[in-house]
Amino acid sequence: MKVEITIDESLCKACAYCIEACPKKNLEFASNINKSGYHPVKVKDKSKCTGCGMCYQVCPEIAIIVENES
Amino acid sequence: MNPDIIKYKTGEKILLKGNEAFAEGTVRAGCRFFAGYPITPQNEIPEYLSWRLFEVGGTFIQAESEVSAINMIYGAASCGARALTSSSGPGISLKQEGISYIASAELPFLYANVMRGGPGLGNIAPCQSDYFQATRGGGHGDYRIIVLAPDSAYEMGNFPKLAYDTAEKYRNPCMILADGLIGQMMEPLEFNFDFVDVEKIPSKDYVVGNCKGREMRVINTLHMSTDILEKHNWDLYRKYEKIKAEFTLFEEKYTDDADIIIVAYGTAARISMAAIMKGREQGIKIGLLRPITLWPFPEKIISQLAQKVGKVLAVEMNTGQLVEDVQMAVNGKAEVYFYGRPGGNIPTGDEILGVAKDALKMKNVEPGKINVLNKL
Amino acid sequence: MKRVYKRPEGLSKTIMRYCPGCGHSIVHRIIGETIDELGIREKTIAIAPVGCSVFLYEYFNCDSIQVAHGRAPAVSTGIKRVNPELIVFSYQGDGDLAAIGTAELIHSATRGENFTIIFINNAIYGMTGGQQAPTTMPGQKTTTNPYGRDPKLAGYPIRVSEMLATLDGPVYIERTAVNKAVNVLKTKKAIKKAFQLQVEKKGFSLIEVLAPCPTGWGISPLKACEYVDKVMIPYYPLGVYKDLTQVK
Repeated sequence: MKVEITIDESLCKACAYCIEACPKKNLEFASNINKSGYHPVKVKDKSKCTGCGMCYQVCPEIAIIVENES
Repeated sequence: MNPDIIKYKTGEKILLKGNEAFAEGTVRAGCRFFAGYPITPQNEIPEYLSWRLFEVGGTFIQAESEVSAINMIYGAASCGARALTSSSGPGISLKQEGISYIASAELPFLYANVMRGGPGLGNIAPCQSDYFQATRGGGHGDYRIIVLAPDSAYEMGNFPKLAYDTAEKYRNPCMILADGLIGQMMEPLEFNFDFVDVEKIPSKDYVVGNCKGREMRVINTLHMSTDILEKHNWDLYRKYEKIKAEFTLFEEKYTDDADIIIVAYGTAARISMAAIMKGREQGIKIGLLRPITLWPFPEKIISQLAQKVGKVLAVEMNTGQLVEDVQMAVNGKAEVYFYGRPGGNIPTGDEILGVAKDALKMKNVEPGKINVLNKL
Repeated sequence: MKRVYKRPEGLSKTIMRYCPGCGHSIVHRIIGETIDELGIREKTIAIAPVGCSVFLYEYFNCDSIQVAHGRAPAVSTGIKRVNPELIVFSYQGDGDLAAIGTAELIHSATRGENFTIIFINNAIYGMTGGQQAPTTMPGQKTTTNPYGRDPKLAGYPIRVSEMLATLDGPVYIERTAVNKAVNVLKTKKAIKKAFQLQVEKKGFSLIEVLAPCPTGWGISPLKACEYVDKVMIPYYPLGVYKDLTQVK
């Protein structure tokens, strides 16, 4: 199984919906600030991502792309 | 096109009410979509179209309100259909919101105001109380509507073709400003144009739907940038100036030797003709200038006639609206008189002849000032 | 099998200008996915309302019309009667749909017009600055209910889905929410079904979506999602209110 998760941090508005939705609790705020002034969300450990897409489902900014080959 | 849907041959003499002639004329001119709400004195238009549009495969909707009806027109016109609505004063007021949007979106469509007495609920008698509303755009924002004023069932029947063609040429709404008398009166007429085959009306490059193989299109009236909206306003202005230069219609009668010119439209013009004919029998020389387009207003010819004749009398079924345009056209170069019958009352030929005689007798009148001839 | 979750083709590349945590963009994305999955982009017309989603015509990759406040169902009616092959959806907020546009809504529903309404119920007027909506909760504070909505003075919230379900015209009415992943998935299912019914010329459908408005409510996005769960859903129960496709 191959899973790829990409977060476009420039789009993130730090609503935290994805952090809440991730069943593996694998997302968190980054320490840096993006151009809009938010701490964007980042993946804690890419190898733990199951590719379920819940973060994509709740993200209002469509900032998360998940590819899941299973 | 199935030839069975052509109800009347071109040139065939028929007898119809003005409202029915208008309804048939719109279908003949290619209208296939009507949405409206009942209001007197224009109800013959939706009633006629409810079965006639069915015959020709068009759509008739009795909407829940005038507000809704005009927005159905917005949708239909966005798809390129020759769309129509009709109403009378109070209903037109409700439609003004939508008309403003459609004017801004530069979509052609046709609507009729069969005027009744106002303001408020007024009454259902013939009146010309909505001249200002019609000729100044009527709704919010900075826009104009092409306004045609028929004076007979013949013009009610034949103006729709002219109106649709002109509306589509300039991508601008066009209205027919009639009154209860023109709408309700039954008289002979014939259609001077052949039944339009809607399949042959050229498709428009600004309508929405089926975006295959092209960029997406947006029909929009929101321009948050002040620069973009200012440009849009000036673009509209240039279009309106072009319409003014190219599409001003009027009718002149007995102006060659006249000592006074009556300016009147619709029912008021027709009755004024009776006064003119009676005056001629008595050796009183009155001429008529009948604006057929109320916007654009035929200001040049009125200016020329005013300077030649010296006296201009505006006759209206209101307390003085068109007379302000006459005054502007005259521009202080001639005497300006006004006679009006508001409230749904209609002046008689004798009344008009009487006030014309009064005006002819008046001396030392300040040019350009409006002299009201009603005895108030 | 490869599953890819990414920006649908039904949406344009324009970045949506909504506040953090806004429910609008989630629903936009769901509609975009639906347009992709049904292959209807080239014949779809989006009707943009007045409200926060007024710029919707910039966000969808299909033809669109921006219309007057509340009039979307009338404009949709005009389009569908002239060209029944097109797919038309109007996207309306609670003020647009349940206040100023109530007449247009009810009458297009009772005529059974074959188009789809996506109704975003976030219990507030977002764009104008957080005033009372017809769906504002009793006790909820807004900029025009500084002491909270008092039903004695300002009336009760309108349950649009329940009201429309009493009519014979509509074919499918469902209320969903987008406050958590499971509800987002249910919203997707409902919206896709509504569009599918339109493609099949089945008639009028409306999906009411309870959506968070963190800015308008003055709370954080996560708190707003909680508010949907704890306050809104009990008053506006989720579920199918009418589905003629289930009736034999």
